[in-house]
Amino acid sequence: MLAAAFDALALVLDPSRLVFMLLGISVGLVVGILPGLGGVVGMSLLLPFVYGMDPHAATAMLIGMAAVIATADTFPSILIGVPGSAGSQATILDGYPMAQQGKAGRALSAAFSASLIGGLVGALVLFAILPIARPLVLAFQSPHLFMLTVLGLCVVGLLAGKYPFRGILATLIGIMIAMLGSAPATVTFRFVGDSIYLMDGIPLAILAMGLFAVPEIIDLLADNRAVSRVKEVSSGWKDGVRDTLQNRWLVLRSAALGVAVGAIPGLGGSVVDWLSYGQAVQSAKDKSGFGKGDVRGVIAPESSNNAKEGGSLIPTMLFGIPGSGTTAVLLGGLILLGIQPGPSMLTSDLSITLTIVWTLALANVVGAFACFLLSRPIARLSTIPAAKFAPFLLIVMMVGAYQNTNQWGDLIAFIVIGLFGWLLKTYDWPRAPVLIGFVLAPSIERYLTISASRYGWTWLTDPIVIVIGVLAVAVVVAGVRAKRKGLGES
Amino acid sequence: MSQRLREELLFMAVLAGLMGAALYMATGYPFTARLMPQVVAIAVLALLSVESVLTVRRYRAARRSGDPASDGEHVGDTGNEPVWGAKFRRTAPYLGWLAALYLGIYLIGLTASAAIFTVAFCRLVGKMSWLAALLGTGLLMAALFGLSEAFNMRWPVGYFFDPFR
Repeated sequence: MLAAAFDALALVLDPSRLVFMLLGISVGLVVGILPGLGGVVGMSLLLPFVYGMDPHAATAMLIGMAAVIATADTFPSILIGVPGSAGSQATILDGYPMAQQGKAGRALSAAFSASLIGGLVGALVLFAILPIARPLVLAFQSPHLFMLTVLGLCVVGLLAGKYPFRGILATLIGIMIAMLGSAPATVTFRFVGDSIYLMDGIPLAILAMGLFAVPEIIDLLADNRAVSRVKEVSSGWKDGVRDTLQNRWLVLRSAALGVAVGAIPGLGGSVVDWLSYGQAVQSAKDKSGFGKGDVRGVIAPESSNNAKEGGSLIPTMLFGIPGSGTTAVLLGGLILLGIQPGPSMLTSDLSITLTIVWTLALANVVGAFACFLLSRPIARLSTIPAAKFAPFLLIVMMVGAYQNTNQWGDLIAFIVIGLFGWLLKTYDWPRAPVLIGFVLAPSIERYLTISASRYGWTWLTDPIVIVIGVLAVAVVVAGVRAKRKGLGES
Repeated sequence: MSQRLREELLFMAVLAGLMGAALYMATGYPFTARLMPQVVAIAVLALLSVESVLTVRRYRAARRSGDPASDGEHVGDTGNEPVWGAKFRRTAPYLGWLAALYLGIYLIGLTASAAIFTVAFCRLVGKMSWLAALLGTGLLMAALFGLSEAFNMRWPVGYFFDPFR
């Protein structure tokens, strides 16, 4: 394993691949600092360009981008009080008051150093878990993988957004969109009519860009928003690093929580920072400063939201179940590269897996240092009004969309899905489950077909299948009850 | 019934219509091809009916508690704002720009229409100076050219002409 790990490091450090990792990191930094454009958008922007690329270079680029978003999204959270992505919401509670008090530099510095440690812990845990997970994952058969996928979809649907049924519905809509095109195991084209374009189905990159980027751009323009009002970042950089080191146990505790929560499909992105913030408040002796600019309220969520990237890659790579919207697109990217996530990630594609682990670690280090170095120009970038960058972003996305099949259908699908995503966003329907359902649909169908053809219907009496099924039902019931209670209280 | 609630119910009705159509169309497919879409469509229809009832109940509860957003008026919380009204009026010009860009791509291809679109948008909406608009557009065109050369990418060609064809 160690020899394979060092081989993978040599692959990542090869200049021809390193440049793609740095490109991914650069895109991740830009996407992270622009509010609303999270990992899914960044991943979707890069996805069309991975066609035909060397798999190691392509995964380094995608992971490099995903790894630094959780670091870069701290800028808007602290400087403007707007979450850069779903995982940086809790940072606002204390980071923004710190910025208002003229301590933005200290808050950013504490956040970057905590993010660096959290990201490294995530990569370390991911590496450490591979030999343990290997026999476990290889023991799973198609019926178990089918039920795990169903369980993952239930969890994703329930935890995304405010309303539990809308989350589950969004997941099912995603599956239904994936049904467009050729059916597996038969020569039937489903729901395509006379359209030749639809015979291959909707490309993942178009769905992701349409669902996430188009609605954000439309709303930013319609609300005529400049990204930031804060133009200068104050001093206090050393104090922030000192704060992180003084609260090292909080950093490690939050990172451990981040990895654990990130490994649960659907749970990671939007709740890990809140859970981490909650445990920071619970474990603090003096709670009076929280919400008013306490640096611990910045350190805890930032450490955990970087660590969760390593955690979310565990189910993505080993079970083929994405832990978040970002990893859902990554999963699609891996498939485009001819890599089938699942048990093969620990056998034939082990070098890819280890490349991902190394990239995650390296990208966190490079990303954190880049954030330190670029903080002043980035703060100025975030003051650019949406009207000044939207046309360029739109053209880049349309070019990316067109690369999927080089047909007009790409551009039409892009805008139709974009408007659908805008309606979903406007009416408070979660969009991430649509994407996750779309990505998982072929796996569900494949596992179900293999299970039925190999075991008939006797697989339904398998004890592991029954346990996972009961767990899925319990998750749905508990999730619906918890959400309804939460809504009632709010 | 508030405007926002009507819109949400209409949105769900359209989704239900699409699922109903999918359910009907799937009846003509072989068993292995129709199993999954039929199961999913039935589940969506069942859940949509539950969600529509829950949505109405949520609005009624909000109205009883005196939440002004439940009347469909924009009261500062854009989360409860109906689409048809102020939000649409704010959004429509940008949808118009998007439609113009698509028309341009259809008529004169992507490269030419992208150049015209970015300069026009930066000048008229972004209020950028001529120099900044032209510089930004020039960089974008250079990036497109670089991508085209590096990755052998192709762009949509216009109905009438394309200067880069």
